[in-house]
Amino acid sequence: MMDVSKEVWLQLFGRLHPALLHVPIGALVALACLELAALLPRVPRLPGGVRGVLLALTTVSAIVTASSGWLLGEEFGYSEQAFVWHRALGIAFATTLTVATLAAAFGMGRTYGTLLVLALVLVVPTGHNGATLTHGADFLTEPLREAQPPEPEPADGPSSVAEASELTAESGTDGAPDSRDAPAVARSEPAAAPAGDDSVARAGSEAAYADTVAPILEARCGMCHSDRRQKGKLALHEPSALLAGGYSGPVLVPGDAAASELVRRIRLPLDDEEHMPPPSKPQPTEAEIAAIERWIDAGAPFGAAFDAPAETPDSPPASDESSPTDEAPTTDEASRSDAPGSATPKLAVPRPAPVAPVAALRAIHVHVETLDPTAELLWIDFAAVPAADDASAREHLEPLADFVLELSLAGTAITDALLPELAAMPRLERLDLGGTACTAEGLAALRAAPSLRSLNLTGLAIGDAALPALAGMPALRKVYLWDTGVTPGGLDDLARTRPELTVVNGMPGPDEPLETEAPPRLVATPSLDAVNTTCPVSGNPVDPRYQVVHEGKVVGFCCADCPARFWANPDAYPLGP
Amino acid sequence: MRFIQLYMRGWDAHNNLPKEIRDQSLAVDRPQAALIADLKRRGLLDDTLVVWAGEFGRTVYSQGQLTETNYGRDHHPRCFTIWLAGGGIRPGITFGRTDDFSYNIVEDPVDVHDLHATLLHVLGFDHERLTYRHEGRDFRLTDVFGKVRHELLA
Repeated sequence: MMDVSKEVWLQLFGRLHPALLHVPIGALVALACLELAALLPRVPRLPGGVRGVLLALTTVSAIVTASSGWLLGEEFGYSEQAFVWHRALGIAFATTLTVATLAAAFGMGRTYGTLLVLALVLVVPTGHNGATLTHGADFLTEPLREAQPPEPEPADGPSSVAEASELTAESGTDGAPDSRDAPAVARSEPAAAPAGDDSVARAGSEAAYADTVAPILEARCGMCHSDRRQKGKLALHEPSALLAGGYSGPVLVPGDAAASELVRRIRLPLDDEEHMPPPSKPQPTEAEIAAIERWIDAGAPFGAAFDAPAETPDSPPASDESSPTDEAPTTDEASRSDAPGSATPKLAVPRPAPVAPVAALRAIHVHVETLDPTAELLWIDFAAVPAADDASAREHLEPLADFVLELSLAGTAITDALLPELAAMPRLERLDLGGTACTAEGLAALRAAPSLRSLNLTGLAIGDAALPALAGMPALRKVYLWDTGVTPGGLDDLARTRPELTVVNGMPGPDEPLETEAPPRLVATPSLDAVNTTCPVSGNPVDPRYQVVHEGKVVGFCCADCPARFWANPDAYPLGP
Repeated sequence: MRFIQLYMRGWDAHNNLPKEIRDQSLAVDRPQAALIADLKRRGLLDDTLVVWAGEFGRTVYSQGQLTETNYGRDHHPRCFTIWLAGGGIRPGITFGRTDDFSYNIVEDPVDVHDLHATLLHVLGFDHERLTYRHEGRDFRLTDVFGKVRHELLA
């Protein structure tokens, strides 16, 4: 294990590189100017001593600069082309000057001169590549580009369905680091990660990436793993980079933080060789690590503002803020869904439900509720909108077809015409059509519904004609048929073909046995009958209404007055037969 | 989550009990059965939690004038009965027993905090994690008590 303080000294020396580099350049230019000037008439040649001093200064400072540059490159782990060139050229520069010094010392004038010119020439590409590392490749021409009119920016919307009503402005922006900051010297203290307690608590939610995780990664990892430099070929500044991973493979397993390399490395002991971030750098706090873990365990959702990589060319766009009139290709989803009867098919790429269609529904007082933390599954209830008809329901539900788990259209004005669209919803499990105008013929369309487990048809005038359609619904497990006109005979037939289907057809009538339980079991089971038949006080026959429990025995008396007398002095009245 | 409370008075009969209890029971017995039946028929019972409860029970012994038609019962907090129906609750069971004098609980007591924990569980909350802030401190609805009674759940 390296001595930490020695490593720090080397880092400090390395960080002097941007300052030290000015010395050899300045000295070299001065030397070259003096040598060139000597070629002009009447300008004296450079005295050997002066040449020696300047040359020594240039060469020594070049070697020192190259050494500090080498250490700086080690600390930062640059990997881009500019760095590779800069390092090579810088070494060449120092070497050229060293040889030039030797040449001058041995009096080889022409060699010396050539090498001096070569060193001068090398300054340009070396310096340019070095400056590219700190200031960016287009630093020199940036003012030209900024003089042109700016392009329109894409609108940033709320990043999640759950936050749509709050319309927070903070969400939706990519956590990309500033590309113009000089990283080496200016960022000696990375910005404190902004994750406070509240945002950590929300780390499993859909807004977690932009608000919480991206700033943490930027602050704790961005110095070496960003769009500017990728140590180990790993960048962590944007979703595609996070998902792509680095030299040794992916670093994220969405849904499983413990299996993610990112988390493994953070959680290693500080002195482990593979621990990240390096021990000399500021470490993430426990809250920050927990936030990242929670976000990964929630499936590493990136929020609606980010385009998750599409798996197939014809899959619906991920962060869909399309207007309700856009057609969502539901047929693609239906064909990709699992076999009928299996669990709710997952979308190919997990993503939250689009915000604008949900907001449009809520604006017409339809109840929309998210059912899972990643806002993928929706419960939509049209209870407050009895006037909803096929057209408005279709218009509002189409963009959300992939996301609906539970849908209630009970009491609305929809008809059979809407049912094929409902059947195409790949994850629809519970559907309530009670009190609508749907008919037995229309219900046949629901046979295509891949996930439909529970269907409520109360009040529909369908009768036994609907039962074959029910029998043909592969995933159906529960159906409510009260007040539909089905006959017990029809239900018997249905029970034969689909024994696992539970039918709720009203409450059991008086002829059917009620759900009962065993009669209460008395904890203590002494009989409540009196142990005697004649009153111990009067000798008259016992009246069972007058009893006293005495010493664990039930004693009967003949009238209302005897119990008091007995109780006052029990021993005076021994019990008879 | 929608919440409806129906508050019914008139059960605190410290006297005139025979008439009052009869009137109260007539008013509530069939409607509560019809409510459950309607919810079940329409497929809403799985999504609805019905809780029928009071604040304490009545004593087994009487108080008041103690005539045939005019007597009453006093408050009795040590044991009382409520019923639950709906989503998540096991139907058709009785849970817990009192002694022969309806005075103490002898079997399967369900503390009020246990009841709250179970209700919150049925509604999807972990009663130990749901907190609210009041006057600068965090409180739990079950304070430091209560455990979910899984015997009551379906």
